[in-house]
This record gives sequence, C-alpha cells and structure tokens, in this order.
Amino acid sequence: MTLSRGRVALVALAAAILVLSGILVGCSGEKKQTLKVFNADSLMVPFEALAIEFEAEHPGVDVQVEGHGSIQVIRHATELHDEVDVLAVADYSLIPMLMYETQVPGTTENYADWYVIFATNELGLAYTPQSKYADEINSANWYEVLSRPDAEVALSDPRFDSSGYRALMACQLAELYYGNETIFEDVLGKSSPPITVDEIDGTYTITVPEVLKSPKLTIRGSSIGLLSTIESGDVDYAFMYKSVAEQHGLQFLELPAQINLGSDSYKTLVQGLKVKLQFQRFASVYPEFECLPILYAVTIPQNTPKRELAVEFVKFLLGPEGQRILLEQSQPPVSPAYADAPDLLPSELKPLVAE
Amino acid sequence: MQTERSNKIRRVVPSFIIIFGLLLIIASVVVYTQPWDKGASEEVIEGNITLIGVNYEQKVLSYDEIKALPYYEGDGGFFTTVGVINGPFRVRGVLITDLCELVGGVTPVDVVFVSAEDGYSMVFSYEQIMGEFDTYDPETMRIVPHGEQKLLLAYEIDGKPFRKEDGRPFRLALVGTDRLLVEGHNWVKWVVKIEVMPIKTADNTAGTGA
Repeated sequence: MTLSRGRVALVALAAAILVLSGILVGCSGEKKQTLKVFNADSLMVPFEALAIEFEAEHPGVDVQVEGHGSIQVIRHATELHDEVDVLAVADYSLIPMLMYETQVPGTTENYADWYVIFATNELGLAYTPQSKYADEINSANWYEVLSRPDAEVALSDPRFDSSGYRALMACQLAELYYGNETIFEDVLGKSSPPITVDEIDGTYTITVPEVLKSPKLTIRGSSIGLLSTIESGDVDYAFMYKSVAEQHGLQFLELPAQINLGSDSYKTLVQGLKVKLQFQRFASVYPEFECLPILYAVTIPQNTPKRELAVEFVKFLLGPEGQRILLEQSQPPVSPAYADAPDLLPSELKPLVAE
Repeated sequence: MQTERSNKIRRVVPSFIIIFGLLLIIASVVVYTQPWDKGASEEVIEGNITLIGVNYEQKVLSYDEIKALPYYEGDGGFFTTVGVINGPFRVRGVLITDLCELVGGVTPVDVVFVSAEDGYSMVFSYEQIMGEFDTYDPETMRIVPHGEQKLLLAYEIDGKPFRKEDGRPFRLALVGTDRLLVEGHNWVKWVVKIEVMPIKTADNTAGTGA
C-alpha cells in the first residue's frame, strides 16, 4: 500500500501536534514537592527504601535522598547552605556539636535544638566464603587470623569515616578484652608515621597521623568503598558496620559486645577512649572523637522551608512503617526512639518517642 | 467542494511542515551550540591561590596567572562515598608539583595541605603529590593499575571553566592517560591555599606504635 504525499504530510502534521501537545501537557502538569533528605552513607539503603514507601503514601512528594559522611551531612546545611529538610547521622554527638551553637544566617536561631535517636548498629568483620581462613575464623580467634601475614585486612580511613576510627577503637578494646597487648599492631600493621596509643589512668588516646600508610592495611575513604575490595577478593576481611555487610550480602563476624560498640559494654574495659586526628579535615570540627555507642540520630534543620513535610517524613521514620522498613533493611531500630530534648520536639513527633 | 478543500490542505500543510522543520533545526542548533554557556567561558573569572612553602615562602597567584603557567591536560574522574561515579572528564590545570616548585618544592619528608574556601582541607603525601593513588576502573569499580597520573590544580573541565557548584575557580583533579577514577575526597573543590609542610611525627613516643 502506498500513501499519497498529502496523506504523508497529514500523518506528519498529526505527529507534530501530538509531540507539541505532549510538551504542553508536560509543562503544565502538577509539579511534585521535593523533600531533601541528607543521611549518613551507612543509612543509604534503608533511607532509599523509606523514600520509596513515603512517596507511595504521598503521591505529590519526591523524596531526594543524598548520602555523605556524617560530618558532611551536617556541613551541607550549616556551611554549604544547601537546602536540607531532614538530616540523619551515624553519630548523634555531632548534632549538638555542629548545630546547637551555629546560627542560621540572618536569624538568632541555631540550626537545631533537638535530635531523636532512632537506630543502632555494631562494628564487626565483613568477609566472603572465599576469604582466607573463612572456615576457621570466629569471635574468639579473629584477631589471630587477621594477624597472619597473608590475611588482607581493610578499613575505612579513620580520618574521614566513623567506621574507620571506630575500628581503631575496637582493636584497642580487643587488647583489653583478650589481655593481649599486641593485637592493635598485629592486626593493623606498622604504619609510618605510626598510629600511637597512650594511656593515662585507664583513659586511652589513639592518635592518627596526618597521612596514613600501613603495608598491611588497605584503606578506603568510606565504608561503602570497602565493599568492592571485599566482593572482588582483593582483601579478605574489612571492618564494617553490620547493617552495611548484610545489606550487600556479605558474611559478617560479630565481635564481642565489649568490643563492637553496639552498646556501652565497652565501659567495663576502659574509663575513656578517644581517637585524635593530627589532620583537621574541617575548619569547624575539632578532630577528636570519643568512644560512644553507635547510635543514629535524626533532626530537622531550623531553616528548612518544608517544615511540615519534613516532620511528616520523620514521623514516618519513627512510626511503625519506618521501624518495619529499617528492620527489613538490616538496620536495627531503637525502639522506642528517644530524644535529647523531648520538650523541643515538634508536637507531632512527641507521641513517637520515649517519655 | 471536497477537491477545493483537499487542494487547500495540500497547499498549507507542506508550508506548515517546512516551518515546523525549520524551527526544529534552529532549536537543535541552539541546543547544540549552547550560546548561554558562551558567557561563562568569556567572562572574567576571579580567584587567588596562596602557595606556602616549607620555609614559609609565600606567593599569591591570580586566576589569570595560574592560566598563564604551563598546563597539563588529561582524563580522570571520581566517585562519591556512596559510589556515584562522576566522569571521566577531560581536565586542564597546573601540576601541583610545579606550584610547589614556586615556593621551594616538595620532598619525600613533606606533606601538602590543600585548603578550600568552605573550610574543607585534604592532606597529601609526597607519593600522592607525584600521582600515586589507587585508581579504579569506571566499569567494574575494581582497582586497576594505571599509567601516567598527575595531580592538578584544575581550572577547566571538558573545555569550560568549572561551574561554581563544581569548584569554580579551582579544583584539585587527578587525571592521566587512562580515564580512571579515584576517591572523590581527593577532588577538593574551591581550592584557595596549597601549603607544603614537614610531615608531623607523633609527639608522644611513650605510646604503643602501630
């Protein structure tokens, strides 16, 4: 069948009108309201799942989830002045440190005056069935296995990532727990310049040099960066958060409660423990980190232009749907959640936190 | 009547299609040439870099002075802490080693601090200043060996100055011959100061070295 030139022209005209109509309809369509959620890298998987379910319940909302190191998450609000509607970090102590005394420009208000602790985690070792000695490693001999010259060990850079400096804390706690004073150096190797550990009256200070090089260690900038090294078999074991290992299908060796920082059990071993970095990465952050249990906290920056929607999202996170999603994504929730300053919480959130 | 209308359509429709086609061509040309970006490459870009040597020798160079120095051009990119890949890009800039030379040079017992306008900083070992980084294949994200790699104070990306949000006027970049990636924290944005310092050793030697 052949078409006349006129018919071809008419078909072309109809197509052009269709395209134009599509463009016009697209332009005039209802625009979704965007909610910007900044979260710690290790929360990426559960928060993406939260965003999907929140959007399903709120069809007019587009939740944009962005992951960074926890300090960077806060800096995006307080120093880079990006719109951040909700922020969630892997170390609750950073919120008061960086937001409670930092004023929103042009106002007398601080960036935040409350946080809610909503999830926890624990530090351990991620590995695969192909990792050397995978069939014999356990929570009693792990440091002996990692000390073997052919066992490749990785951690995220303690200068940049909380799981990195927490791995150093875990190795120091292991020395005390197992009564073996060489674990720290045996597992982490001799770095040059050295990482030093000093003890005064039961309080330990681990000092990390400006540049970190150890022939025994593979060091990556983030806990997520460790995944490819483990999956590819380039390293055998990596210090990692349990949630991250499980979310990516890796095997995970749990360490004893006194070492894994999932609770305050470490206090039976030390009066105090901190990591001090000789490299100050951020002008606004004094580079010293106290040993604290791993607790995730969420807050809403004072200057969000979408306060109502932000509260709705946090309500969703702390409510039964959020708790279910966290559990499904291997991120243990703290239940019930609790706040440092319950009186200052938005009223909609108060019923969802412990008295 | 029918024939008359058909004739009219036959006359009008081709004209309409020609006009529509012409508009499409013009729109394509406009999108392709991006005339709105021309202003960016022609506008005056301001910004200074302060260089400080290991003996406190100091120099301040303007954007134009940096651009007048010999440049290196290569390919490279980075990935963020959550694995988002950026690049590889074609990047132009001045070698960090050349800038260090202007204030006395850098040796294996030094480190180089790079500071940004927003209060962020990074420290690089001598080996890193020489281009020694772990490099990743953009396809597999596995570490792969690399050929020539150079650490630059970059001012152009894919033939244009950086946009403000990407680090304008200066950003660090690790590029070379192999179009590979490095970790994103090395691509420091909004660089304002490069300082060579002797490497610190631990203050307290009583501790357990590791």
